[in-house]
Amino acid sequence: MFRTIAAATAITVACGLGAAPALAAAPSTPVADATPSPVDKGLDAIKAAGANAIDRRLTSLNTAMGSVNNSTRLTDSDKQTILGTLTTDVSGLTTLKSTLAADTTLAAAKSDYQAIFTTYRVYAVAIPQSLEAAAADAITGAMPKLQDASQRLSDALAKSGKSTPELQSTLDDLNAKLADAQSLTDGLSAAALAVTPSAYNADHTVLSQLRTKLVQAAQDLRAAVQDGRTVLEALR
Amino acid sequence: MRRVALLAAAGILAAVALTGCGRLAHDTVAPPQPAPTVTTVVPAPDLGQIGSDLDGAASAGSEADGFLTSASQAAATPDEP
Repeated sequence: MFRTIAAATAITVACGLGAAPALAAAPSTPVADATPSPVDKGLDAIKAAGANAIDRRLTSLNTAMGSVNNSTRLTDSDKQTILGTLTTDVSGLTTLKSTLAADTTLAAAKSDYQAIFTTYRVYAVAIPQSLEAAAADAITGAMPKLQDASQRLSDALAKSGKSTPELQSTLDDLNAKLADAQSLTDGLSAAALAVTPSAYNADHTVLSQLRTKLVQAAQDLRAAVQDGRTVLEALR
Repeated sequence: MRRVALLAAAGILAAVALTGCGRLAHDTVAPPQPAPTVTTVVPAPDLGQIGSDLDGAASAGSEADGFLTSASQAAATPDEP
């Protein structure tokens, strides 16, 4: 269901997790509640900005939950983990919205406003970690058939009499890329889903480090597929 | 008496020759039959299926790329200080 349309924008591509609408609600350009900070304004301004920020996150979270439920790439276990996080965030943010609306002091409102970000990290952690888990699951889910294809290509090449050093080298590269991708993604989905807002607050690179590995694994996968197609073409 | 015995023995031999033992003896002198040919059928590699599997992996890779792009965009949302 989450076929990527080549010409689509990156946000449309996010439909893979079904997160496109979620990310559409997560603007990629500066937003009003970012600068200037409403905490420097009065009580009513903080409440309004907080309600706005919470509503946007609730929309994103609800959209993401529907998409996670429909995802064909996520494993059942990862789905449950993600849904647990997203549901907890929805519940917590809904409560926080009421609390913020009832605040009567500037200090309390500032504290509650900051909690929207530091406690939940919807856009910095919850949604990115879900997408990273989906990417990891997509890659690892493709590996068995690709490994099987590699074996069948090797067998076919041996029986066809068309084997050449170049084709054998291509096949070796395919297997090397698969091994690399497997190594990079080993345990990565679980690691992404284990990241908490607290962990992010302590280290803002905690998810981007995992993302770097996934980008490399996806490149390996693409290269392996290209190698396979090269050998397959030679056999035809 | 002895003649009767000889005739009986000859009859037995004739009977044996007409039954299984006789056929066995006949077969043993027949030219050997060629062994049946055993053909091992080696299935041709299903190149179409391999191509389909490669396409499936490519699709998964594209989706993974999309997820990662979206993750980067979400993480770059500026109101998450």
